[in-house]
Amino acid sequence: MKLLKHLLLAAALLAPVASFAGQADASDLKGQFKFTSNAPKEDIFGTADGSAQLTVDLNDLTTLKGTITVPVASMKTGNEVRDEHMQSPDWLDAKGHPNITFEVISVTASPATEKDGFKESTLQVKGKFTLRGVTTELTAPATLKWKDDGKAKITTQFTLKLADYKVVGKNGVVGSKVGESIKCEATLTGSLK
Amino acid sequence: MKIAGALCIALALAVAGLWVSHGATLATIEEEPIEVKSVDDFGDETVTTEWKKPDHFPVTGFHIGLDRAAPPIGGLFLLGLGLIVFSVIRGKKKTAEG
Repeated sequence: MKLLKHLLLAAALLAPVASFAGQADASDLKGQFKFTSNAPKEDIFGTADGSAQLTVDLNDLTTLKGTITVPVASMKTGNEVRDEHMQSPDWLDAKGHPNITFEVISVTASPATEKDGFKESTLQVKGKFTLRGVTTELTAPATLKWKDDGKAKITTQFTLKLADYKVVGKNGVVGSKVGESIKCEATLTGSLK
Repeated sequence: MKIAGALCIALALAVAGLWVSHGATLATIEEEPIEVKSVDDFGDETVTTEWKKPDHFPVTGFHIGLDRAAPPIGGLFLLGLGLIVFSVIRGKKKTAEG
């Protein structure tokens, strides 16, 4: 019984180490998404909360898998009425489709370079991007930085076309007050342990 | 009556002027993004956006967009115009009555 207790204790203590050396669990990445719409009549800037449930073998970054999630309800533009419109069924439909998700399908990665106490790699992440219930394939560039103590950061920038996700809004608004394309950028940080 | 009408139109123009001085935006800025810079664990400067109520706009302190400015501008202008027209018609009637 005592031996079993010791074995269980040893397993519990070694599990995170084994996880980091191999299949690291990056389930604790959180951060801020920023989005910008540039239209002839109005420029809109907004933010949203994001989180990532990812797994990756840090010795082979092409094994990166998982999902990045942005709750539509967390999207904010600095004007309450506009936020309500943005989350209404005409636009992003927060009730019907509460989350914007990006599910990683495959990754190409540059060889990791070692800098001042951390490693860095440039990635091309291909995945299924789902907005308002419409899923398309999207490839986004990303940079992954990580430290041996488990701290990690992913940054990315990409552009979305609203028409690809059947976001049309009220008649004539897209293209005049809301840009046809939305620029997005995100920084997610957390621990790989 | 004419003076009241002219006053309403002048007030409408004043609100319009205030809207222009606030940047003539379509939407009222209830909260504006503030960039908060910090250095992260990787030595990078990161910019996080926080939202803050604006308190630096002329006259009111808070910001007015067209969504908030249009109703008083339109209302005051129409009221002023109505008062002037009503006053002119009443004046003509009085003159006709003799």
